[in-house]
Order: sequence, then C-alpha cells, then structure tokens
Amino acid sequence: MALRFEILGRFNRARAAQLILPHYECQTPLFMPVGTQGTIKGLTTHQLEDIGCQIILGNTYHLALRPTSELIDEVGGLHKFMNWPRALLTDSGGFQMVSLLHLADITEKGVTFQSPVDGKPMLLTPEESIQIQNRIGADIIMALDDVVKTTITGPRIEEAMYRTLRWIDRCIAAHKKPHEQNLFGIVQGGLDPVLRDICVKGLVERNLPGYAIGGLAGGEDKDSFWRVVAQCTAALPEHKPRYVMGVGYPLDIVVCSALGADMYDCVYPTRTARFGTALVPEGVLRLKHKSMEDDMRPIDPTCDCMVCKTYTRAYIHCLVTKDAMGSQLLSYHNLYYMMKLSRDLHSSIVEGRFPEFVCQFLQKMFPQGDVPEWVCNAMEVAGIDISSCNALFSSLPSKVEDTVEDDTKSRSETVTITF
Amino acid sequence: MAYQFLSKGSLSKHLCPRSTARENSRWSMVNAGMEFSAQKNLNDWEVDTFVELYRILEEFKDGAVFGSVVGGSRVEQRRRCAQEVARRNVEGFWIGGFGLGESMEERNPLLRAVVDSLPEEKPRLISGLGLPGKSDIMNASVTHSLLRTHRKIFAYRCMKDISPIVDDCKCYTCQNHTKAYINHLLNVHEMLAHILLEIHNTHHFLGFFRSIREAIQEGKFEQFRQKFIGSRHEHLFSAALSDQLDISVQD
Repeated sequence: MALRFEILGRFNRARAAQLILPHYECQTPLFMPVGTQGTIKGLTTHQLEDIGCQIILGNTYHLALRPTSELIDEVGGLHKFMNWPRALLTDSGGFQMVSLLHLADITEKGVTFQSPVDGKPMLLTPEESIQIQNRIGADIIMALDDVVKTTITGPRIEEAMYRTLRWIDRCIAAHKKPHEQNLFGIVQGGLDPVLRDICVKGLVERNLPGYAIGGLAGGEDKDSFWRVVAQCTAALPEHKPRYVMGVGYPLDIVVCSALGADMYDCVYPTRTARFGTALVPEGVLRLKHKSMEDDMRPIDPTCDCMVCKTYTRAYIHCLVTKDAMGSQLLSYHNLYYMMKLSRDLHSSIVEGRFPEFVCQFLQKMFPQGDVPEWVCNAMEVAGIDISSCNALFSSLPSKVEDTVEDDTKSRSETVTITF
Repeated sequence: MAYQFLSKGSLSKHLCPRSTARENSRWSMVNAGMEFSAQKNLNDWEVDTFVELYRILEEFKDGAVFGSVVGGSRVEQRRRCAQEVARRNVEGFWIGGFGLGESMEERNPLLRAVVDSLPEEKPRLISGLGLPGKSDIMNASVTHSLLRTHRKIFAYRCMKDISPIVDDCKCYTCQNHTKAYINHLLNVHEMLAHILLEIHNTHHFLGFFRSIREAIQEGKFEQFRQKFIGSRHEHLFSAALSDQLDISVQD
C-alpha cells in the first residue's frame, strides 16, 4: 500500500477525502484527464498545473507501443519523461486492445492480438501488463481485467467476472513495487447485481489499496448505470478510494459522487474540445456554430480560467473552424471546468452544503426543471432532496429561482407558471 | 496594417500577384505578373495605384500604413517601385515577393536595389525569409518553417537523450523538457511537439535579433555577420554528415 485515504467530510453516501499518493496529495472527488500518449493534447505540464489537475491518466497500450515501457524506465519513469510532478495513473492496456484492435481475443492466458506494427500475433498477460506498468512508474496501476461491454448479455459476462478474479491474483503476484505503486482491482459483472456482488467480495478479500468499478460507460442505459454504481459503492470498503472508470459527463460525475464514488476519468472534455464544443454550466456550447461568429462574450462569463478571461467566443470560433490548434484553448477551458467541478464537489461536501450544490448544478443545467428521471431516482437513493429544482412530479413548468434560497417553503407556494 | 492595405480594391491587383500563386511556382508567377503590369502604360499604372493609396491613407488615421514594394525579379522594376512608394507619406515599407524559391544570388541585388531607394529613418518589413538580410522586422512564419528543419534533428539517436535541445537555453522548452520526450511526441504526432518546438525556435530568433541590435549599436555588425555565416556553414555541414550516418530517421 502506497497511499493514504482520509475522509474529511460526508453527506449521506457522498464523501470528500484526501488521497495521499507518492507524488501528490489529492482531494476527492476528483476528475483525471486522459493523457493517452504521455501528453494531454496541446497542453503543457505547467498549464495542467495551473488548471489544477491532480492525477493524469496514461494509456499503457499506447505507451508500450511508443516509446516503449523499457525506454520510459531507462529515463527514470513517466513522471520524469514528461516532467509531470504530480500523480499519474496507468490503465492495464486491456481495454484499448479490445476496443482498438481488430482481432483482439481474450483467453485464460491473456489478451491475444495482432501487433499493429507488424501484424505478428502477440499476447498481453496479467503479468506482462503489471510489468509494463511497473516500468512506467505511475502512482496507481490497474489490474488487467476481462472487460465486456454492458450491452452484451449471456454467459460471457459471468465468464469475464470470474476470470477477472483469477487474474487479480496473477497481477498481485507480478507486482514488484507495492510500496511505490498502488494496484487497484476492477469490479466487473456487467449489469447483473449477483455477479457484481461476487466480484466485489472477491476483490475485497484481496485487500487492495483501492477499487475501480469497470465495464460501465459503454452504451448501457442510464438507469442500469447508476444502479450498478450504487450497488458497488455500497459494498466496497468505506476507507478506500472508489474509481468509476470512463465517467464522464459532468452530470454523471455529480450523480456518482452523490452515490459515494471518488475518482473519475474520461476523454470527453478533451475530445469534445477538438470538435469545438465547450463545457459550460448550462451544458455545452458549440463554438463552430454560426451564431458564435460575432459573439464577443467569453465562453462562460462565470468562469475564471485564462481562456475565459482573455478570449471571446468569436475569436475561438475563428480558431476552431480553421485547424486543430484552435482546440487547444478549448481543451484548457474544458479541463478547467472539470477541475472546478471536482473542487466544488469536494468543498461543498466538506462545508456541509452538498445538497445545495447539487440543486444549483441541476438548476443551471435544467432551467425548465426537466431533470432526467434516472437522476431523480439516483438522488433519491443518495438521500439528496432535489425537489426544489426539478418539475418531474408537477405537470406544469415552474419558476425555480426563489425556491433554492429557502427550503422550508412548500412547493405549492413557489410554483408559478412561465412559458 | 500592411495586409489591410493590400486587400483594398484595385491596389491588390497591381501590387500583390502572389495571392493567386501556389507555393512552388510562386516565384515564376510573380515574374509573370510583373511582366504583365510592365506592359501597361506607366502613367496608367501610377495613377491607378496612387489614387487608391491616397484614398486608403485617408481612412487609416489611427494606425500606421506601410507601403508595399514589389517588382518581381527585375532590378529596374524593384528600384522604380521602391522610389515611387518612398515618395509617398507612409510610415514604413513592406517588401514583398521574396522567400518564394529564389536563390541568394538572385535575391541580393534585388534587395539591394530596393533598400538603397528607401529612406533610412523608416522601418522595412520583409516576409518569408529564412534568414534576416537587410531588413528590420521579420514575419513570424519564419519560426514555423524552421520547425521543418528541426525535425531532422529528431532522429533515432535522440530517443533516449535526456538533455534539453540546447544546453544553456532559457526557454520554457529547454528548461522543462528533454530531446527524448520531444522525439516521442513527434513520433506519435502530438500537437505538443510543435508547440514546444515553436516556443524554443521563437525564443532563439528573438535572442538572435537582440544580438543583431546590440552588434549594430556597438558598431560591430560586420564582425557579427562574418561569424554568423561561418558558424552556419559549419552547422549545416555537420548536420548533413550526421544525416548520412543515421540508421533511421523517425518522422
């Protein structure tokens, strides 16, 4: 174990904590940007520090290909190689193989695939994955798991779940640096609560430093998604970090945090930036749209980031419609937005105003009060009252500004009709 | 300002033929354009151009207006254009039509003809050159084109090189990153490679110009020029030699 996890505040299932890793002391809930090939598209490490990134993800599959884990080891590890002084997390490489490679196949030995370089058959075993990650040197490394899409049904899911448990033992045995790098296990089991339960119990028995909830964010319906997260967070140990892989949208992060998750990663903020889309409290802003051409406001007037303080929508519109470099500013803003969301989640829980934060967040995103049903259901399980900002149970749209201030007013007093 | 100047009305037709040319054949098309305009009656050309010039000068009361000096590959044309524009009330001069594939032997007499006809006290801006010659300000696209030559430096042998691009360089890139990392970024076609290289190149060019200014102020410019040309030849020679010895150049 090379980490400490100290809970500083709670609201029902939600928790705000300090996660102390070898390279950095982080605060959860937190979002981890994905720096696939040892860099986050177009941003320097100084900029990432300015934005407030705490942990960055590196993709083992890509890094093992180029520049190879041996080279990274030779130059002193990925931290030194990319000059990132804070924390790093590497995934196992398994997911990329299955999703990127044409003929990848999973057997008991490991993941067999065709090398993208010369087409030769290759095999990634749990042992090999851990060795590569040992060389890369991240603070948190992930076990090789048997990932299946949640949209698949049938016996394959059960097979994958049991194999994941068998592989975790092989990963633990192969891990050469348990005092410098934290090996997280990944809960699989599809959307089946029985399978998920077996997997959680199996991983918890191995007493790992932290646990991830895998196999989600792959196209399953939102209702199933939150239920799996809720079940896993309820069953995982209280005093260890919980990482929901591949999440995601700001709304999903708020819901999962309410249900008791701590860490997230997703390519969404940086990928959507490359398509000219900015993240704003109301949702998204499409900078390529013609209406942005002469809009002289910043992307988000409430945002304090360098991009919003320096550039207008019109200017960024001009950049993103021309070339990829234009997306660099949007990546900066989008990541700043995600880091601010992380900070707000942490501080609102610590300061005892988490439900108010959730309501304000939902109100900005759904000003008509049309909060999706899955969010309402999840918040009910999380014990967070969002009736002040959602009109789900009323057939009329309601004006909600007044209701946020004073919870004691009954809804009927504050419902006014606006069209 | 110079570009706004050029885009106004019929002026662009007369003074900016390169806007319609493609990279490789620009030089010959510029020549063709100037041949064509030389066939027109000189007075027509003069009247058209300078009526337009006066009209534009009227509009730009707050900014500086630079006059364009072109003339293709003919020394006489260049001299005449420079002399005519110099007579007008502009704050500086934009010298166009260079950096399009001409050789140093072709360029130098033309530049000399232009520069000798321009007033001493006004700035001269020249675009697209690889090296500063007899002009004052250079366009930023130079540092971008240097990126292409820098890529040759990032060969196989740099893969594990954990030293900065230039050892005592104070730029952000050299203070924070190694050749090994930049080599990797170039190999995987990451945006950050170009950003870091451009930071370093721009830093170098700005420093280079500072040295030129200091040399001129101390009256040592000729010595500086000789030293620079000498060391550049050495560098090109050793770069060419090492290209031959490289086993594989990863691009």
